[in-house]
Amino acid sequence: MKFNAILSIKNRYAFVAISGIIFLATSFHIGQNYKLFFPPPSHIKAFKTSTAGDILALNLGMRRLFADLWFVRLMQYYGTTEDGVSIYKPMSKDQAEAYGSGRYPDFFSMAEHIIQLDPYFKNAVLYSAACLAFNLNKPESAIKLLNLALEYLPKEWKYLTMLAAIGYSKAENPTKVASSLMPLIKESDCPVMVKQLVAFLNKKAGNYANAYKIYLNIAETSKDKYYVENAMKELQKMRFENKSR
Amino acid sequence: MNNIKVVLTVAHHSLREYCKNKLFAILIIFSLFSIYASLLVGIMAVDQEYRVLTDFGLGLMELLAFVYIVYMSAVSITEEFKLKTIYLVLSRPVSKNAYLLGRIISLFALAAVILAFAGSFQLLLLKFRGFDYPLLYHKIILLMWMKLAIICSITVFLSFISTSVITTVIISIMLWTLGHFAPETKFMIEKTQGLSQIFLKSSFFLIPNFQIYNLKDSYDIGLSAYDNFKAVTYLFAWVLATFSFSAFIFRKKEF
Amino acid sequence: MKNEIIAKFSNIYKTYKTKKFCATRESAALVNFSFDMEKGEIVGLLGLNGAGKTTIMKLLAGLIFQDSGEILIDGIKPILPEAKQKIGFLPELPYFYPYMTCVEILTYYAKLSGLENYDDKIGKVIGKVGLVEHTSKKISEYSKGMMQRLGLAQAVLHEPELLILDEPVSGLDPLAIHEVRNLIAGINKSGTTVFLSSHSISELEKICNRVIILSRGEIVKTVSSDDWKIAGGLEEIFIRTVK
Repeated sequence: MKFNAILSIKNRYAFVAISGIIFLATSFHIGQNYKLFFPPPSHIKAFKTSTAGDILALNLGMRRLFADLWFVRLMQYYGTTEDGVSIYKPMSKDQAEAYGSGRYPDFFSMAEHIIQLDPYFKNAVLYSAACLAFNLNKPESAIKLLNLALEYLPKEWKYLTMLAAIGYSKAENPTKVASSLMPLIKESDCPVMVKQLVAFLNKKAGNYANAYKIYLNIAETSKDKYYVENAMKELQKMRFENKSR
Repeated sequence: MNNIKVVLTVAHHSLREYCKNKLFAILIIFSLFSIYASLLVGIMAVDQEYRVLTDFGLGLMELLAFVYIVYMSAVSITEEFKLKTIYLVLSRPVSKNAYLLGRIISLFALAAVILAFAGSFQLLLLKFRGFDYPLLYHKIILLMWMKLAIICSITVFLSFISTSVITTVIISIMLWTLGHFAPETKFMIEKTQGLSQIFLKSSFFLIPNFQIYNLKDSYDIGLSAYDNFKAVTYLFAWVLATFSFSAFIFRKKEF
Repeated sequence: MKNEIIAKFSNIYKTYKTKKFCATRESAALVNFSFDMEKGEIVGLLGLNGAGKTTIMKLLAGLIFQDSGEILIDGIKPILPEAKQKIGFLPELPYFYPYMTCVEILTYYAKLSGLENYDDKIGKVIGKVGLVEHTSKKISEYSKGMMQRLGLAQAVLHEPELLILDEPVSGLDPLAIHEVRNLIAGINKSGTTVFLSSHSISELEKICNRVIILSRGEIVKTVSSDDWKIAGGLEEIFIRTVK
């Protein structure tokens, strides 16, 4: 290969021109056919001091990483009771019973922010929707969140399942809610919070065998100390009350 | 002498030079430490540890590789001019184009070395935490390398036309961030009209679109065969164009 | 071998341009420079600072380009690899990659020069320039004299037909100067043409067959060894010419 021959005085203008044309044609073709698969910046609502981080997320191509960070923050936010007690620290009986409920005024905005950064973060969507609908008693917010996520993954059955469960919940049919959510927990990546919720709903609906299986699964697979301890406690209680079958 | 041999000799020598640089050792230690430190964030994510660990590792790896590659691309050739080591290379039967290509190939190889090193470490860490091989991992790394190859070719070209290393590095960083902003630019094109639309359109076509290589942000969606083809063609077009422009300027450069 | 032309300069003009904000400052480095060098000669370039010596060396090494005129090395333009194959170049104050050893760097240059089976040649050339005891040292540990020796080694490694040496004894101690001089004489004896520039009149006087006296980019006189022997020394001629 003779590079000098390619770029000889006679040919070098031609070489530059040809490579320029190839570049422009490729760039134009790829630009024209480029499809947007993330929400544009105007659709990202800044949450408190998130602006700088959001700019970094967009400019460095790290939406996913920043969505992860926000999800960790959301879990920390929800993992702390509204009077400032963490679920990972000893709680009083009243605090333990009250955990999961409450106002959590920033929950929806934080969850929405995660979805705006990475609308394909299924676990965050399911976790947030379940919390909003079943723990915080804000089903309308949960539906809004699921609809936002469905814009990007319109055929996602997990979201549709969650929507159906919220529908049954609004119709005050806990048995249906529990059974409709069952397919979700069979997925290996189902958020542990959803699993616990389904176990609780099954227990409430009298489906002890299902509840026992789910608690057992949580105790064996989850890495979250709080959920594991809770599942162990429930399992023990069910064994004691002979409700494990 | 066979030009291919010259290219490979220059590439091998340059790669050795980059790897012997003290900064390289610092970067490798820092990147391994950062990836290791991501364990902490992973643990905080509890059941999402796998995802967070993977995303953090990939993000840190890309960022650190980018920093070193851009710096090396900005200084590798200009430093040879400044220190006059280029005299003893170009007074030999070495064509400027072969030398330039050798240097660029060595920078591509450097990006591959960094990614391979950091990637292997991340995989080890994931294995240590009991996780599987992440979905499309090799493809994510390959596309990351392509992205780095484009920015490295651009930086080499900029190093010929800019007045200082700092200017070259700053422009490259700007292009890197604007390149990731491409989808947003495309969205804005649809919303604007007139002169601003023309300006946005030209910048959209003339600034590299790094999002087509950003599989680390979208591996849940995956890539089609056409996306793969686009990524390879786009890389070829950018490297060819920046190489020919650089060679055009380099040919007339005096030392 | 005599009378065969190895390097030919025909009406060379070279101007350096310095770009400022709104203007370009031009300074003429060479004005109508014409000169032929015969095979087997040792030709010296003598001139004050800024006379154009390094410009001529760089033009011959293909590192810069003339504005007009023609330069040929054995009939080939210096920019072409075929011409570069025939030359060995030692720049003023050569700089090498500090993290390498002399064997590593000579291997790199040997490969770039297209040499096959270079190990023996590297060994020989290291012996010739007296760096045998320093092969394991990194170049960052070398003294100025050792660097100059290494510079010579890389220039003669591929046995060029024309050796271009820009200030080869600059900054060396008297013993090293003596050794370098002997080395150049030895290389020339094996048939290599040597073209060197120096500030040191006595050095050129001792080693050259011919000396070109340059002033402000122009040849003001070409003197042969016979001329300076008759005139009572090169220094006398140089001072008379440039004053």
